Amino acid sequence: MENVLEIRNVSKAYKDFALKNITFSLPKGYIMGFVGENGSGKTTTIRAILNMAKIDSGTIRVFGLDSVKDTIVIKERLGVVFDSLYLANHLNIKQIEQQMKPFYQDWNSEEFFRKIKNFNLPDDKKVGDFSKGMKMKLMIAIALSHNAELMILDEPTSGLDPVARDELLDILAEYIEDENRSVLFSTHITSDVERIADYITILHNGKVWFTGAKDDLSEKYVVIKGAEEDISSALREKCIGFHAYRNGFDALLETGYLDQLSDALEAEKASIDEILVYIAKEERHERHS
Amino acid sequence: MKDILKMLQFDYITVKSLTVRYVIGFIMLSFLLALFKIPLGMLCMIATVTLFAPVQTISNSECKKLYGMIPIQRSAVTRAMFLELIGSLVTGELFSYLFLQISKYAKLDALFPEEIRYWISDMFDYSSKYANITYNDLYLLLAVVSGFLILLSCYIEMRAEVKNMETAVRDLIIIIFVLSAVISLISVFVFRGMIPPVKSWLIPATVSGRWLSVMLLNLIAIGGGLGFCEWTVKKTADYEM
Repeated sequence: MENVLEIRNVSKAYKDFALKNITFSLPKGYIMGFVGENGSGKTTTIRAILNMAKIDSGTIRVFGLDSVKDTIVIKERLGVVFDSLYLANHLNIKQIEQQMKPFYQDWNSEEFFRKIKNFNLPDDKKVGDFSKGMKMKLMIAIALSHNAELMILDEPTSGLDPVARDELLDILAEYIEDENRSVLFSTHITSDVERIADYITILHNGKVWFTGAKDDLSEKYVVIKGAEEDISSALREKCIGFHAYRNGFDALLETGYLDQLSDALEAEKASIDEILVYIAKEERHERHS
Repeated sequence: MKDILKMLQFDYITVKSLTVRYVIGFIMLSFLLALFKIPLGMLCMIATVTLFAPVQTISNSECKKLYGMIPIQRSAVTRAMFLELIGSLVTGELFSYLFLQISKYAKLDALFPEEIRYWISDMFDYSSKYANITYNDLYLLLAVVSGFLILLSCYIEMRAEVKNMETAVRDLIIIIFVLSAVISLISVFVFRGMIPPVKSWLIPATVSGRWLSVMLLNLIAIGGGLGFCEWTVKKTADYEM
């Protein structure tokens, strides 16, 4: 399978935060959800892919090209949507189109205005007066108008109402219908990932906690619940985010250990949300609470 | 070069609906008044320097991230910004010369009643041999002011890019304070006769000498401005966006 994005052992240290040995890849034609709690390093990783943040070590290849040396060529083929619109607020869509057009060799004005019409965006209104959903759609329209092969979105759905979120996810699903296109989108709204992602990468504290097919993740972990005395101390050590209550406990467990589980304990499939919560609990050492 | 042109076009679209119409309005008003011997056009530089001011504001805001998203080198963004600054000031200076030249030879003030005509002549006639300042002095003065503004604005832009906006504003305040103090001191010395008047030892005696000085001052200022630009490109090459 051809990878459109390959990140190998990327590290980047700031004063109070560091990305540590980030490694993952996104195959061509798929959507990857990039999840993690706030401050886990999602945006820093995206900025590193775009050469907006300089990495200390490791390599990032996009379309097989070096993200630093070939950054201009890469950006010609890339669509980027951040959580804010970094365009002058007083301009309207026609002026924005005039601004963006010279930067892309493959820019298609007809396609741009067709998308603007399809997305029901007013072309004579100042973009600063747009709602957040409209701004996201405008950024996607720009990405689609230069035939971007990879779309990178940083928290595109945060702050959107459910209808706008749904609409945005539909646009991404439609975009991916062409098998040559791929999407990497970061979010902490895991239901969005559950809905459209094929792959998932979970970032925690600047490290990759999981990367792979979404189905593999849901098959890999279960949430176990029951009384504390029903779990062996050896198995308890294997638990992630062990949380004891007065009447019992709950924790995340790899499915590989299920054969060691006593019948008195319940095991349920873990959602991505639950996995994130247990990872955070593990970090806070709640196992001894 | 192609990338710089793209950025110039990008920035022009940004300011088109903000400042361009006001600057054109000021230039037209200056032309009109110059026909009546009123040299308002001397202030064209002040008007044109505001032309790309919104771009500086936008570039020092969150919007800067856009340059990391689109296929453009950071150096092209920086060079375009400095060229806008220098270009708008030099354009303003050229308009100032043009309107001074027009007001020097204009005759439409004859249409005014006598009192107004006298007032204009009293205030703005630099042709008379009794005038304290002549047109030739003004051309040189414009070159000095323009050169100073080019160097100052490029330095401030460099500080804003290399450090931050707060440092740039602090530097600007210090420069204005020091400059005011130096000018005041020189004025006091000249007034007390401790040093000869500036005119007698700094201003060339011949007209051609003065025009040569105008050109030299502009070349030095533009060269200095471009120097600040290249220093900024070098220092910000590894900065993150």
